[in-house]
Amino acid sequence: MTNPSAKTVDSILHIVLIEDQDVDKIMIEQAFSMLEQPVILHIYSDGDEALKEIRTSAQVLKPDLIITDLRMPNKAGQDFIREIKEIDGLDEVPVAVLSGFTEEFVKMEPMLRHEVVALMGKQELYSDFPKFLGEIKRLCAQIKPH
Amino acid sequence: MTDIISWSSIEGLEKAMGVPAAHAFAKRLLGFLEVKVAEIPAAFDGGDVDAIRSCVHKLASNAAALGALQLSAAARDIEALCHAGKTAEAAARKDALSDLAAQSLEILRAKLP
Repeated sequence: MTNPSAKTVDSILHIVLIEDQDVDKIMIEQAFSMLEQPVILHIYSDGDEALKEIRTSAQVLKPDLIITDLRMPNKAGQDFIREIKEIDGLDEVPVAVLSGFTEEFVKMEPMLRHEVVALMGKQELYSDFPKFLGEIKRLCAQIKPH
Repeated sequence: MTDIISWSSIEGLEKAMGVPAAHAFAKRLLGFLEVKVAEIPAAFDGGDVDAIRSCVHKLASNAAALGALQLSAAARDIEALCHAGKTAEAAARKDALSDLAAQSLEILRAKLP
């Protein structure tokens, strides 16, 4: 998904989104499409698939940001984050967490929580889209394209 | 008791993208919800806990995205029962879930003709 924009290729953010829910993917895509910042979203439905692709393509295209759900099939978000942080060159890629289960934020290991640049609740995605959009804008403003 | 539909979800979309675009987007989401609701009988009738859990997990998000909070909460409760291994109790909620889903869809369709 690309934002039409006259911005240079260098300013495009490559963001990996790991999300298994179709409706959530659509809503998140919609939010990113409304940013001025040009973004290419690389969407995966589970952590295993994302890890495989990111490992393969990291030398060519390192993501600028990874956003992951916590509760997913095959590989839980926490395990995905732990594995990403163990890969040379990817350990510095900022990771944001999006979850419909805020209690899972609390249950995250403190060390992993420390690694996460943003914790976003899906409740805001559903009930207050402008607020979610604002969070996405703030998050992207902090990210420097590689 | 929570209203069947909380309009804050659709109002938020309207605020962010304008009414026509928001309603077109919400109708797209409604299409996803209709598909998930139609999948309830098959998911529950087989008695397979994984099928029920998967169905209500997706239904909960689809419903919440359109402000169908009672339906979303009912689906989350059933998901919790599945996680707790209470398959029979989860399966017994099929009719109540289906009724609530039908009511929710009727209200949303009226709002998004």
